[in-house]
Formats: sequence, structure tokens, C-alpha cells
Amino acid sequence: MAQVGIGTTNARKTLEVAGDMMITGNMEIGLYNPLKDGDTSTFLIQESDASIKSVDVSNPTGLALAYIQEYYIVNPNLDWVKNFDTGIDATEFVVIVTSASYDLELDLTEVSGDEENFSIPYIATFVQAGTWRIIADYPQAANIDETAIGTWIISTLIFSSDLSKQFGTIDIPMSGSTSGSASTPIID
Amino acid sequence: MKNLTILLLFITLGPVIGQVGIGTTNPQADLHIAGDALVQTGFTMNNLVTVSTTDKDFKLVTRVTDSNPIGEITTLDVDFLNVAPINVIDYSFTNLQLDNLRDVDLQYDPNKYIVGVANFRHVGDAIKKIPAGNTYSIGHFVVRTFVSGGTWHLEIRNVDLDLDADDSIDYYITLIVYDKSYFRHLPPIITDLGGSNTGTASSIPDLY
Repeated sequence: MAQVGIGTTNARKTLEVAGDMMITGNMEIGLYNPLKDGDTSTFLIQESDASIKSVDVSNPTGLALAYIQEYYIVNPNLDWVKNFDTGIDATEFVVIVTSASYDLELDLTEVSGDEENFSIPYIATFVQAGTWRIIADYPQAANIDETAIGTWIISTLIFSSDLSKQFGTIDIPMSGSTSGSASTPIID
Repeated sequence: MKNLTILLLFITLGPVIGQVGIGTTNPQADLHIAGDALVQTGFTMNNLVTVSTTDKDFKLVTRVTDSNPIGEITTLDVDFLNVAPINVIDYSFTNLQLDNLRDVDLQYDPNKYIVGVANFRHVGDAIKKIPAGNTYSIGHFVVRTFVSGGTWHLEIRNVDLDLDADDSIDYYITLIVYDKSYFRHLPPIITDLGGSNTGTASSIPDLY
């Protein structure tokens, strides 16, 4: 009968606190069971006021580990999106493009000689003036019907800076070779 | 008062004054519970040490929301799970109808998962551009996942152009399947740029 209740006469565990608990030192837990398939669960995080909170993704305005956001960019300059401001704060979040597609047939630039060009689309994010921007284009190509209104559908993954690191850019000169090596790994 | 009496019955003073054991006469900390503990409401730890760069093999801590009593603290060990928060699966597609992978039912439940496509690679013959006026059409090539009929689907193809009949192409992708218990699929943000190449999103996603 070594069960202790604080605020309850019916302790269900060795110690049950019917209220809040505060620990000003360290806490060690000797036995954690692993999460099992079929368990519904949330992550625990610590707020800046030291309280332990759970990440409730089912709460539409609560925190998640990351967010998947699709952008439908309608009627850009033909297929060209030069600078689309998502308004997402670059100091607090990282935004990367995971996939993208454009919905109209394209043709190559109608300048003599350019019609032989090839075009590889690019879709990327960059930071300007403190917010994340999207750039997307088929260089040297555009809507074959210039009156048609095109749409880019761009899937992005948004991480909180609390969970991710931005390592900046590593430039690797390839010295004209097809294979090479990065100078140092970014993560050990 | 009665609760306090019960507590006092079971506390044991350790060798250093102020150490309390519950279920043990040899407390190893200021409070040592030799058993399980249950906290019904808020929980605060003023001294939660952060993980250092030299720590390895640490586990994320999860809280089970359907345990009895609710809230069992568990660790996330993907070796014990069939489905992790992030699941990475490679797919290959061969013997296609020309370049057209119009609609493959990936069968993942959109209520549980968000399915993204990454690492797209094509191996095989080129799709030829075709004359269009004074220049050439390159069609438009689509690689995307989408929800249809209650499951995730995949499309990979040049929508307007086709591979030559005697040519062939294979597709390789990596699907990233995110568990919606941890990741949120936000509603799409639709913005009309009115023919400009520069503009601002119609809304900023609510990430707080």
C-alpha cells in the first residue's frame, strides 16, 4: 500500500498529484515504454516559462513539427514567378520547396536560334527583406497560348527554427570535373 | 488534512535532510518515487537540461493520448513502430504507356498522412519537342501527388507531349509520408498575381 496521493485519497499510481507539479531540479525517469503502433500520441515540448506542453496537431492553430503548405500562384507573368513573398518570417521558419508543377503547355522563345534551346524548370525559395520568397520559371520558355492563365502549384515544407538549423551555402568549385567532394560535412 | 496524513505516513527522510522516498527507504534524489507517478494537471520543470551536440542516440519523448489514465509518457523509437512521424519510401515505375503515368493510386489515407514526392529521376529516352509556329513546344511536365477518391494519388508525365512509340522511360521517386499526428497539412493559399512576376501571398500561414 505504498501509494501516495496529494490532493486525492485514491492514488492510482505510486504517486498521484491531483493538481500541478513543479520540479526545480533535474528529473530522471527510469522506465519509458516505447510508443506502440496504434497509440495516439503527441510530442512534449518545454515552453520558455519551463512548463511542459504537448504538441497537439489536431488543434488547428496549435504547433506541429512541420507544416505542408501548398501555394497556388495564379496568373503570373506567363510562367514566370520572379519574387513571390510568402510573408513567412525567415528568422523563425525555414521554407523549402518539395515539389511543384505548372499547368500549361509551353514553347521556347521565338527568337531566331533560341527555338533550338532546351528548358529545365526551377522552383526554389530564398530570403529577402526578412521573409521567404518563391521563384519559379521555365527559363527560355513560356505559355504557348499567351492569353491563357497559368497556375503554379508549389508544395512547401515549413519547419520552425526551434527544430531546424540553417547552415547557409557551401560553394564547391568542381574545377571542370564531373565528380568531386565537399570540403567538410555540414553535420558530424 | 487526510491527504497530508497519508503522505506523511509514507515519506521517509533520507540521509540528507529534505530527501523524500515514496516506495523506497533510500531516496536517490530530493524526491524519489520507486514506481509510477501521475500528475493530473500542469507540469513544470525549471531545469530541463538541453541536448548537447555530443549527445547521441537520444529519443524524442511522446505523450500517449489514449492510455489509461491518459497521458502516459513514452519514447519514440521507430524500431517499435510500423509508422514513424516521417516515412521515406522509394518507388520505381517501369513499362509505362509512353511517358504517361497519369494516375497511380498510392492508397495512403489522407486523413492520416500527407504524401509528398521528392527525388524524382527519369531514366531512358528523351521526350522530343514538337514544332509550334516559329518555335517548338516542350509541353509541360508534371510530377505531383494529389488526393482523389479518399486516397493519395501520383501523376508523372508530360501532359501535352508523348514519348516516341519505340522509346521507353522509367521513373524513380521517393515518397515522403508524413504522419498527421505530428505534421499539419495547411489549406492551400491561392494568390492571383494579375499577370505580374512579383507579388505577395494572399495570406500568411498560421504557424504559431
